[in-house]
Amino acid sequence: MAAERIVLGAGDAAVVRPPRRDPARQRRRRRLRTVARYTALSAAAIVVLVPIYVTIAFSLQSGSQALQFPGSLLPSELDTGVFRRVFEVSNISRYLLNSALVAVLITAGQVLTSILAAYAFSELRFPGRDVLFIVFLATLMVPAEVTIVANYDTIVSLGWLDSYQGLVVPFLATAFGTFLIRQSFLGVPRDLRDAARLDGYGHMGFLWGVAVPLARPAIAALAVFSFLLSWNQYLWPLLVTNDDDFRTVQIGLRTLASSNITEFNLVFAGTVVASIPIFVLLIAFQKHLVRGLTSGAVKG
Amino acid sequence: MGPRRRLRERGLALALLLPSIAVFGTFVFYPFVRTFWLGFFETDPFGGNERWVGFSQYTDTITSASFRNSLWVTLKFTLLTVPVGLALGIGLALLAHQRLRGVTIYRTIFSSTVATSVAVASLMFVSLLSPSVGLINQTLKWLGRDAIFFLQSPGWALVSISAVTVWQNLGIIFIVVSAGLQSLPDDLYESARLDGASAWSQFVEITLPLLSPTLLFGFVVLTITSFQTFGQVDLLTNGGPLEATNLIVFSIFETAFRDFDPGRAAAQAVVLFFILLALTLVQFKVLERRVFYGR
Amino acid sequence: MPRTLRLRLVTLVAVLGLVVAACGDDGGDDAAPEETSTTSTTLGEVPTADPDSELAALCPVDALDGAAGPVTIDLWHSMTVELEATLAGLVADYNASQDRVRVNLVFQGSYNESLDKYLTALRGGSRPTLIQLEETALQLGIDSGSFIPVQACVDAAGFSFDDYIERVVTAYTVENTLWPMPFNTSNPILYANRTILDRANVGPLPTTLAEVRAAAQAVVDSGAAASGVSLIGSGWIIEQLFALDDQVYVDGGNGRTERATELLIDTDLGLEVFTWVHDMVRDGLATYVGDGANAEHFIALATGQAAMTIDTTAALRSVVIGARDFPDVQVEIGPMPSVADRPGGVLVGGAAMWLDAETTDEERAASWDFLVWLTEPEQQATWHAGSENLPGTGYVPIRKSAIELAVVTDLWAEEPEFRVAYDQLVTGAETVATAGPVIGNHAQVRQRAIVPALERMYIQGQDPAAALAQAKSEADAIIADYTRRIGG
Repeated sequence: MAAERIVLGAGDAAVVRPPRRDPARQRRRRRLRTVARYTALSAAAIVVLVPIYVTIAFSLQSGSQALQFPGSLLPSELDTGVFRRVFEVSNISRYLLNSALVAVLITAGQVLTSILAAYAFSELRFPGRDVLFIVFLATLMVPAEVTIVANYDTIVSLGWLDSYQGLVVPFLATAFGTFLIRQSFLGVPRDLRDAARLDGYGHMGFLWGVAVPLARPAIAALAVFSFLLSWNQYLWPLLVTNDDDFRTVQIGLRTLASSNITEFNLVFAGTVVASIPIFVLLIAFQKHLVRGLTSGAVKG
Repeated sequence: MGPRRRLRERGLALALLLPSIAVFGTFVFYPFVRTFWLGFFETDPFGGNERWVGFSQYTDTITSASFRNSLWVTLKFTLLTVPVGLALGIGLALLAHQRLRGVTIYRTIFSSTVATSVAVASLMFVSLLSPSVGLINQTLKWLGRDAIFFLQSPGWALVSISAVTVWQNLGIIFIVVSAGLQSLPDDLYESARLDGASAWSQFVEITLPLLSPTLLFGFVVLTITSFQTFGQVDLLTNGGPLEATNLIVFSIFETAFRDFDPGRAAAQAVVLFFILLALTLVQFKVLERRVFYGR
Repeated sequence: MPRTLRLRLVTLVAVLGLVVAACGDDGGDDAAPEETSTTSTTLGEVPTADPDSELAALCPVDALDGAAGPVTIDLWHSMTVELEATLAGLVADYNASQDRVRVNLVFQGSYNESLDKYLTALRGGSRPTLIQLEETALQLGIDSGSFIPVQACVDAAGFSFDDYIERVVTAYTVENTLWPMPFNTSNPILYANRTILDRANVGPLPTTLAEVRAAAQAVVDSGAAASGVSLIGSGWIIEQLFALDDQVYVDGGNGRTERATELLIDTDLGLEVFTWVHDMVRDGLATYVGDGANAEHFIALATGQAAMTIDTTAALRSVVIGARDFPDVQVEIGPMPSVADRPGGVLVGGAAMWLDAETTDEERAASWDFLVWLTEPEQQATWHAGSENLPGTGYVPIRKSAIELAVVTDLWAEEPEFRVAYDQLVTGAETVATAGPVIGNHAQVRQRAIVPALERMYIQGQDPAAALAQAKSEADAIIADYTRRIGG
């Protein structure tokens, strides 16, 4: 850019030099900038996509084919049957189902408990409210390492190994979600509340009739986060599931990888299959996530 | 408010809070206390022969070179992944935050790593890092260079795990920061541009301060999750080579479930908790001041 | 000894045993006899069946006759790829061939993971009837007190191990008690790519460490491959080199007479072994590729990066199948190289089947029926060589008469590489050294003391003597830790 230096001071007079006006040059500069932007965007996109692309490319080739660099990057003979073999060799459809079920249950649970708790913290008055809220937030401070062994023992003594309860129940509440929704509820205008009370709405009516609809962006954001986090869980499912019928897709992939070390194209195909559902969901719900985050849910 | 109303309100509050309290009580606070208690006992690998050993497991942990190594490795890992991850996410978000034709395609690509979970990301990187089959080494071989053993050499192993993590987190950071950018008021930028501010000073003076709550959020979340990194290690390096990737969660997990020593693992977890507590308090004290909450 | 006297003696011992057991502190509530540290006699001897022993009562092999319907037993295993396919095929055959027992196969991940899950199940999960545990788990299994020694069934059935390969049985026998039933037995072999060796003008496969080094040198010098040997970090192979030299690995009669307390590796042999691996990597003749879990050493062989590697014969079938994808590879197999002469023999590797103590009489009888079937010559032949629809494995058939069956003789005629592991197992001395070391936390000793020592040498170039000393002291500490924890 041409040398226009501005000094932004606290109310000081700025020294400005008038920019040179030359339409043709401006147009050329703008075109260059656009090209530069597209180049940068494309380069970044390529870097981000490389692992995905290579995985897909390798999954479609046999072992020796994958070693013919650089031909392996643009494979000619594609073995699409590998995807069918993934379903034959492993229980991946069951794993995906388990992950989906667990994620949906956890998400629903977290959204529900967060809404209820957030309402209590934002609208109701009771002794110890602020202290209890801090206690809630404190749960975010406790790292998984500290609770995992004891939680495992709890699950074992409840007989919940290899069960959906064992995978879901420990995660049915979230302080993060409570915080998020509480922020949203706090933003509901006072007059709305007063009007509702005058209209004879009790707390529950107000909660479900007014507050929740208004907090929908935050709730949507929470739902997406919860779903992603549950889908991504690794250590907990590893500990509490042995039975193949209850494995989630992360542990299923681990099993696939360890029992097929020689057929890595199969393993790669498995990872592709495992990521497709989430990718589809991402495309479908991307807008909701963004809207939820821009509603101020993440602000201070 | 009448006394009866107050009572009803308290009752309602209890009812609304009970589910969360029940879950937290059972799966956060009870295990927390229990873990402290567990650290005072030693058992044999089969869960029997329980003996009281007092603070010895705690002192063993603090003096253990392996534990200190795990802390150090985790710290290195956090330093490798959090700033880099945030910076890259911000960079991508800024890059995509422009009115260009087809920018939504780029936005989707940049957020796509959200679809890759821990296992998927780790295994996808095998296609890049494997000494024989991996793309990087195939390229090196084509160029006549020696293969790099990414996961078998202590120096590279941690970097590789970090790369997997950063890549996997890119999507969510991008989405969060993009959302933050979208909510920034245009008029501030407009007036800055009219005053002739450069892109860089716009970024530093306007974007960063206004984004700071979002960035703080991202920073805290990334740091917390980096201390709980497990999947990548389990799938790619198993803590090695020579404990170079023996992140703290992995190390505690191995102690509890491979050495079958829950007492020692509990002691390690408790020591870790206090260290993290101190760290988080420091983090908040230092960073909170930098966050700009102005309206 | 006249029979009545023997009977009275046995009864006296039995009564004494019961009294001791009743007065003693019983940590577990299982039916297995209280097992103290190994204090008595035998070493390297095949156990005999004693139908009058008190153990025999624990495994009434006739219980199946009185069973109402088919008895289902769960078998936790760790077999993958072709191994799993063959095992599944065998189990299906067994289930189809009779209707008194149904075996339910459950894949539980690697040996480590399966053991994890079992030990975790001891704290309140559901336990399997049978579990396949690695050979390193022998003392751990005994110490757990959660298993019934298979000897009980051996006694009750008056079973004879005459046709079994001797070392396979002695490896798993402590104090004249066979604990698990051997099943998949392996040992290490030398895998080589004959194509590359020819290019380097290397003749017959090397059989000693010095010859391996010479061959690797030839390969690297001639440029036939980037590296001579693709080395994995394995404590197992170090133990094999000791056994081949007929040296014990730990004290206490290799851990079989008394509980092991220390590694006896700080010897000339130990130094020679450590120096060899150290120098091979230092001089660029061998490349370290990790622990082998990702099959990198085989891939290196297949892709022409290395000429040789050493690993278990269990992978042989998979390697042979995989090598067909690579036309430039001609797989050749040789015996495990030894340090110099071979006064000893290779150790028994692989795994064996353990019988859980929380089982009913019928389940035990059912398990015994299955295990006997599984180790019959026909099944061992199929396990080794495959059949029309089963791929087979590289595991050694543990029945001597199995090698006379057609399927095996045909395989050995066509692919003689499959007989190398068998030949190794039936040659050499049968001593305490070749029966193998018995250590409580054997797996931890390998993983936390031996493998790190190897890695320090390979990656950081640590001096072999220092690595050896550190390996020993760390291993000894690990063993002491275990012994203290179990209250021994």
